Amino acid sequence: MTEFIKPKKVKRSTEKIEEKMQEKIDEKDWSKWGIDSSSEVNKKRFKNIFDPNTMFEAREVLFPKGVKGVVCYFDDLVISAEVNEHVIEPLVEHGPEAMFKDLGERVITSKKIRQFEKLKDAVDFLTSGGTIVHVDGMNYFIGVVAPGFPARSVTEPQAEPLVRGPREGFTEKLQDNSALVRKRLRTPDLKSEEMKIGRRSKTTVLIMYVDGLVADDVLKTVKDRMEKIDIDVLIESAQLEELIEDDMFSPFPQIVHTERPDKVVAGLAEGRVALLIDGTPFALIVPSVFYDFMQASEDYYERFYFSSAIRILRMITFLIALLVPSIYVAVTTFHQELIPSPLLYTIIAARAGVPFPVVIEAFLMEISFEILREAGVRLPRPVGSAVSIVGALVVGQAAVDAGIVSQPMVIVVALTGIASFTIPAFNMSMTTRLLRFPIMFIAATMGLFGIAVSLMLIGLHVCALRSFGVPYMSPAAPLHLKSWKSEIVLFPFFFRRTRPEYIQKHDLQKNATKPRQEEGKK
Amino acid sequence: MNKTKVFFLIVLLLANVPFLSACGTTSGGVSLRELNELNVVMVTGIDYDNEKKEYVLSIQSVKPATTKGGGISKESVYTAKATGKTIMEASKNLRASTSGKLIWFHSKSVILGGDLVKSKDLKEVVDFLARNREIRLTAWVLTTHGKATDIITAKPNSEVTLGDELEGIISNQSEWGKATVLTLKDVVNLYENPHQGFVTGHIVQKEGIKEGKKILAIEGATVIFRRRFLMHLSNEEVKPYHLLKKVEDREPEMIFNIPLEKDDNEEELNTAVKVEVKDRKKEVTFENGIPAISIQLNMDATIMETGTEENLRTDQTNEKVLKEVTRQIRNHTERLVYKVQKEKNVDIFDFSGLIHRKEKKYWREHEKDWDQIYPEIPIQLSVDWNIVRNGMITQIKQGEQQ
Repeated sequence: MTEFIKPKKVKRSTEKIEEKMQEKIDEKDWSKWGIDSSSEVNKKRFKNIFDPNTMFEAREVLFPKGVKGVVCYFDDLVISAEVNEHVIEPLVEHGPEAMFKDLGERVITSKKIRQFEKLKDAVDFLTSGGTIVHVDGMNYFIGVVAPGFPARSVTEPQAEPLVRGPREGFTEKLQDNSALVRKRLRTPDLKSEEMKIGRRSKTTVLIMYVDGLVADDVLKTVKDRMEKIDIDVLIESAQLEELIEDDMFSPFPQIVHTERPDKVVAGLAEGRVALLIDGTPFALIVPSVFYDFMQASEDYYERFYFSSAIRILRMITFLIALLVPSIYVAVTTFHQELIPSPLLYTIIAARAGVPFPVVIEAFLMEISFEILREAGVRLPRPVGSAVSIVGALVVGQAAVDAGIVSQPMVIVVALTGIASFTIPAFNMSMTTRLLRFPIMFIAATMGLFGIAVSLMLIGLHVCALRSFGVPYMSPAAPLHLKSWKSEIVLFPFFFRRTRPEYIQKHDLQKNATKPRQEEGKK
Repeated sequence: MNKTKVFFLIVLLLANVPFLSACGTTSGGVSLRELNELNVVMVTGIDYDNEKKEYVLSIQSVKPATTKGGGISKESVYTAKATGKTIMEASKNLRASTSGKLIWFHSKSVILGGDLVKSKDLKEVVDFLARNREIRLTAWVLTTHGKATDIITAKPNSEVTLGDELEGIISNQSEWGKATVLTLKDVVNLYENPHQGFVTGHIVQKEGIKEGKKILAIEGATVIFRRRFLMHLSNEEVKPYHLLKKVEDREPEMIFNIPLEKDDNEEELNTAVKVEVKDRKKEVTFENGIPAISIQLNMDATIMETGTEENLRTDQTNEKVLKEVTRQIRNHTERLVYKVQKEKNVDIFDFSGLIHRKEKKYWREHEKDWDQIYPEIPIQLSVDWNIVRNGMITQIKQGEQQ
């Protein structure tokens, strides 16, 4: 605890105070204002900075012998009762004499005390939910942390539901989020560094990592990139993601975001860096590779057979979501020889009355599907489901009956849509939705050759992409076969001994459990 | 070049992409064909008009119209016919009387008419079929003694389209053993071979059960040697052909009927034995400088039906059955080998290829004399039996009465 020095007693007439105020107010930039020894002056200065603001409270406390004190806080950011109980009451009770000796230690009963030498710091502290105390004669402020932000309680994550696994999700409160992580990873090596981003919002971003596991260059890159950020207001993790990711023009997301503390912990334990942002329940995990977006936390909580099968299935559905409409268009307009005869007759028969070429039909259906999906998401939840039912069943059936679209196209579009829902990361699923359209266009002009070319271009792009220095397609390219055991498919636990070697290389041993000898067998 | 320039260059290049589709031709590149326009050819028939010296191309095609649940309705099946100096010209002339874009990708069978096979060199036909990228090498090649047009216009018996009907009949050949149909690929491989002939199916129209209704059936096979028709094989003659040469991936089943005993009226009681080749070894040996070919067949037999009272479980009966089957097999093959080897001097069993592969030196020296050597080559056949199965029962007998 900081040593407090007893200041000299000063007495000033009201005139003098006014003079002093005036002289300081002439200086327009308040950040250059200093701390006066008179609490009244300081009170006026705060008022000057914040007014008009109905929520700003500056309460005067009167002590015997005419000594004055002031307690400043934002009424909406703190719990007034706590301020009363822990700050004002003790102050009044103990009097100024005791106060100067050990104001922080004994008088103020709150746990977190800080000392500010600059007015600017005190202002920042006030706006982030702190309480400032000043008593005549002090040339510093005392800050008491008693924040009372409105916060949502910990609930189940909405965006990442699962059947088995912890149901806690992050909230908008940074302290809670940090606690959710820390309670799962109780090592002293778990470090967290704070950074304020946003000139006006001053949003706290917590950089969490496990010392000894984290790759130093990744950590350094993260810090460097964050330091260079100069924005006004940081509201959501998405802004931070865009500002620090490697290639912001890439359609592929390069940073995983999650609402699940267990996912963050798993990432930290692999040597990744987690960024918790105040005010949003989404944490960022860097570096992230392509396969991270194809994983759900539940993969690790189910039996490995099932998880491996599901992961392979997801790879297939990724390709389905990306390519099936294009392949359908290419094959039906250019390569009819590829379709088995009976299927060809069926498709031709189904398409017999349709007035549009296949590609127009495909675009019509895909776009209307996207419209329906968007409508379903934007509308209030009870109405949303009604829209999707009306859209999918009624409009779809009517369009087929009227002969505007063919049944095979409805099947293709529905299959594609459902396949894109199986991708666990919503941002990756959006990527496939978006990329589908240019590929469809190229497929309609160049056939399967066009699809091959588009795939090659996408392949080149993702292979060239990096996430904080880690190649985006690891562990497939460059090849790290050891990491396939836990990253691409899922081997039994005994075989998953190492951490992914593309994240960091200095501490790879993760699990040393040996297969248990069966009892009675020697 | 800065990034903006590269970006605009790429945009310009991409803007040209739609024009690529106009560059397509039927001989390669990209060519756009909308599904609704397609007229899918299912069977192709090629005839030759000897008087006008013209090829006649007839097709059966399908242009499916809206039906519930897909599939083909009878109304969407069409036939068309056109003539031309060349087959390609005839195929272009077809467009005068057909709507939609004709595509040959799904033409599963090609039927060669009798006049064409008997009077013409097949070079032009096979060349057309092989050169055209729309016709698949897996298409079946069939011959007929009459006009291919008659087969094309025939009414299928069990299927909606003739194409499906033919495919169904052909796919049954391994269940039957009395038919053999080659794919275009095999025909292309063999038709120019100066030492070997090839055997492919022969399709005819037959009287069906209903009076006046004709049905299609495979009847024997046609042997084509040095691009021309040589002889006809009957269904029974195709059986030993299958024994001596592996034609299909799956060896066909065949039935031999053997008389085991006679009933009271001195009529023979037959036993049907199903025979399947499991393994076939061919060896070339030399005797006095003349090659001899020995074929060793390893076969399974199953008794499928019998009129005999004998106990079929005993070794003696088995031996008797197998001896009789072996005798029949020998008879059949000897007759066929005599017919093709001695009478027609044509190698349809790939013996020349066998000698070529196994005795390269001999073949190099004697290839030119093959026509003289071939009829003199002795062919030995030995048959090994693996197992005799009796089916579900041993003998049907009246149970003991109590």
